[in-house]
Amino acid sequence: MSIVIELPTTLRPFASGEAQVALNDHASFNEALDSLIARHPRLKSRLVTGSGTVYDFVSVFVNDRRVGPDEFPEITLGDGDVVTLVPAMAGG
Amino acid sequence: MNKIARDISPALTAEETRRYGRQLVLDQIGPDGQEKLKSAHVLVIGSGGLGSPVLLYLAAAGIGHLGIVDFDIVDITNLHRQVLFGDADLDCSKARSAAARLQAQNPHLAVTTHEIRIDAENAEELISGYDVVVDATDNFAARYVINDACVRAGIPNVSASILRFDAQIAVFDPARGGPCYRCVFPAPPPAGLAPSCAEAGVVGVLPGIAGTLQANEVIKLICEIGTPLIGRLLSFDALETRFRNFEIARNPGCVACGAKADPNRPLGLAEAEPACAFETPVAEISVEKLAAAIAEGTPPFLLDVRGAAEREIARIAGSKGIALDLLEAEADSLPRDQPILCICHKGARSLKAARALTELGFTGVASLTGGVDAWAERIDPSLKRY
Ligand SMILES: [Zn+2]
Repeated sequence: MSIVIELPTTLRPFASGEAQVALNDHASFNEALDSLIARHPRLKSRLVTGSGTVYDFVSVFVNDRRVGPDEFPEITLGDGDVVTLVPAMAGG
Repeated sequence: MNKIARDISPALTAEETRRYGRQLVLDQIGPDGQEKLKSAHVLVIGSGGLGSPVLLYLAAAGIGHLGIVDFDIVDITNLHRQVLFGDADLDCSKARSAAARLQAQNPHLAVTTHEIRIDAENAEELISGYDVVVDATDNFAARYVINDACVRAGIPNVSASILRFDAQIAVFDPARGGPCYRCVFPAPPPAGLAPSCAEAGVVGVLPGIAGTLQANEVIKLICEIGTPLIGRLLSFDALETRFRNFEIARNPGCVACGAKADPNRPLGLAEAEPACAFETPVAEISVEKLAAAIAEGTPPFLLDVRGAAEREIARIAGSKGIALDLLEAEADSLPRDQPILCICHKGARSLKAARALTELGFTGVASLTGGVDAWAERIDPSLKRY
């Protein structure tokens, strides 16, 4: 089984330019996040806080529906699921 | 200043009926909808890239009263995207230049200008009396203040933001059951993680696209037609020409709109947002220490991250050159069993390089303080300085 993590434009330079990262065999969101960071270590400081949780300015969507940080431990990902990371932007 | 006149007669004149005729004939708008637009009070905060199209289209559409909040003056770097302004407006107040342009465009319009920066102290008074607020600002401090004030006042916040080729648009309106801005983004990025348009750039037509979508949402809210962009975050990728709708919901624990929100909490961001350690700390060593290590026969691996032209001018003997841009791609050629000392001209790029290598899992990486320039000045005067 395979899931896809979609990265925002601002994070792609820290993931070798990749817009989408496909990962295999990940049952939970937290495991998928760990694998993403293992593959692209420079994402770590830009995506997660010192305590390992996703920064509050990055909204996480699973199949286009937002999931809050409280739900992360319970999220199970299945084949074909798409996780999208959307950071807050302030430009106007 | 904030006592907004409600004395505009909603009845359309013969001239207004002709002016708005092409949208009056739409069943969803009609004379009733046009009269609602004429009676409406809309506050647009920020009259820059997003505010320009919002204001131009709302003025043209017959909104009766527009408020403009902007403390800034027109700068030449604004003109590629802030289409309200031209060369004649350079160095003039944005709010007043905008008001003059809009009133020339539609004489039926009443405009109130507020040449101030919105903050926690003035926000509630600024927005009071308005039916809809449009967030067209360019910074997080303003966005959180606007959100919190709108939530407390029960006023819908038609929000958009842009960066480079990306835009986000949403209507935040807990009074209609939707989430607020904080439900989706509970806190802003730490300093250093969020580039501004000034640093990161923005393509000029992008605020045109996002701002016209905001104007459309304002008209829909006032006329109570269609499906408002509540509970959805619309993202637009200008390079791929792709729109996406993300589903967003109220966060019951939200500090602004949640059940336990403190009605006396100060608006906006707290003075001292926790400083997040975004930058991986790296060691720095002096040119004297490097000279001593070389003299003792225990030099680190010397990695010069400048470009070829700079290395041509001057370099420390024995250093290997990999330009900073190529570092990540060529990191595999570096030793993992030896300390690496990154070197550049004056010590800034070498810090970035050392940080990047540390994040890639290299240990014992350091940066040479003062770079080749300090080495030429204090250790090896035979080297050229530039
Ligand atoms: Zn909220």
